[in-house]
Amino acid sequence: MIEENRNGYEIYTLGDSAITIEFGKFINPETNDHVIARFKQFQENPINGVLDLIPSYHSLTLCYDLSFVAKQKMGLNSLIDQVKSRLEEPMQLLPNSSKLHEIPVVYGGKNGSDLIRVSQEKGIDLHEIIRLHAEPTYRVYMLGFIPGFAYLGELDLKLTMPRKSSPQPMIPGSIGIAGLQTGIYPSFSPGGWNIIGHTHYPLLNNGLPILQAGDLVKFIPKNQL
Amino acid sequence: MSLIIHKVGILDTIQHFGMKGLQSKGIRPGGVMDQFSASIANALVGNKLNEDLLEIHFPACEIIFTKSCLISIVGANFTAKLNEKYLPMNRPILIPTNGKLQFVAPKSGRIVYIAIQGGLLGQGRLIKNSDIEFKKKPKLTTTSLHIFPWSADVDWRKYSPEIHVIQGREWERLNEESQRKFCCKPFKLSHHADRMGYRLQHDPFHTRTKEEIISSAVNFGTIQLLPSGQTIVLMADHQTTGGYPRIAHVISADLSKLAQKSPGEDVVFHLTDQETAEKEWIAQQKHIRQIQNISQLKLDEFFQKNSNQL
Repeated sequence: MIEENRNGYEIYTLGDSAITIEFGKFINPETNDHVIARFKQFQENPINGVLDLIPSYHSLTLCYDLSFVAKQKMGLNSLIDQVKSRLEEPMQLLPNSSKLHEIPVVYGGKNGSDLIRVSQEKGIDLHEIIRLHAEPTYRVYMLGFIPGFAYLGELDLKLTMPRKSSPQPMIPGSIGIAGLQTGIYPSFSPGGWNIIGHTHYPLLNNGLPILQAGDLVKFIPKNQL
Repeated sequence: MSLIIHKVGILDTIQHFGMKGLQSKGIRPGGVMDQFSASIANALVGNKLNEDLLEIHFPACEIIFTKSCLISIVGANFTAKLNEKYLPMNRPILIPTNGKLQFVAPKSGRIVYIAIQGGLLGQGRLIKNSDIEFKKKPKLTTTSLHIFPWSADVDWRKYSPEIHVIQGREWERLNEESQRKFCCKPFKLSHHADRMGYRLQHDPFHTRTKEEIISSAVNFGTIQLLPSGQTIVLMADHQTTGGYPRIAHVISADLSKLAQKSPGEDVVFHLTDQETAEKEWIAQQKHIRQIQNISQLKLDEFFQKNSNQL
């Protein structure tokens, strides 16, 4: 495990074939802008041996070719030195070209089966939960987990729920909440988030995600409870 | 038409070696579960080490070769038979036209690879009666089965419950007792095990904090701690990101060994460091390349003697 503190970021190893640069401790648009800008920088000007990049809310992960890195004189430290010098370069924050997606949602019922439990555990009535969830305009902080899964933030603090203790099967369009995040499952998959609603909004086009990091999302409640 | 899937198995695919560069869109790299066996299978038939090949679980599919070709069988031992004759593992084998390949009994391991000289066209799940084409015309054909007299050493540090891991970002969340138990105590592999992840069986681990973490990247070999205190090791078809604490990561050199473990088998985790992980990986790759070099020499020699028909 390698830890480096400098200019407000930390670098840690993610196993022996990836490193993660963490730019902050919280979910906020400024940190995420930082992640996206550095992601573009590493994408446009790749480092030798780096095979894949995974941006997230507050971090950027570099997956590398272990054979290549292990043969360097200093092993992984050679790569980390290069990354650190890249992070010294000024970054270019991108002009805001985000798209707004208005997503219709049916809350509760068969395809939003955790809504009642969330309401009971939080002691907030169903209508208020829906209002709190549908009120903000969310930002797409990252894509990940499975193709086209968009992580949205920031959820109202009053709706913070832990993940389920074990992953459950999900259907496409399921809208879940976990921690300060909300998100939409684009395809059948196991998942640990609390499902409060469902949408038919298209999330994939030929297997590629429709929502992009930096886009905005507004949920439009479609049903009366 | 070069080979036909006569009967389908439980989970058989034409597998690549991981598709890198798309994880920023949430598209997982996938690829072979046991890179060591798959690379050696390719080396034995003179392929590049990362050529696409068949990855087969048990109960396995039945394959009819409508064209003669050179193959190798490496990984789990499922007792391979060709037209009722037992086939050895870890050797080049020339399959005659209309040879029917079956796997009749699982003896050891979990996943077997069949490499075909020149590789295969297509990708993904094998379905009944699908025709699969060879990428290249076979160099040598035969009318009767021919088993080559050399075999690859695949026992290289393979059979032991020890799996080496590097501490994860959230390792410190485990309390002292759980950290002690995690290292060095044997766990059984659960029946919940597939290409996405292998779950382990143990008493729940306890953490110092229940604080939720912000989702970020995971890796092949990442060991996640579920809120129930149970653990799962993410395998080849893992998701790109996750929000469960990452307590440790299996080193790349030990992923193949872990992939071949069956439900009920013991796993013992040992903590190691990046430097050792790099050394182990280099040693493993060197072993594979040696097998590749020797195989190539032997095959060239053989092809020179027997021009195109045996």
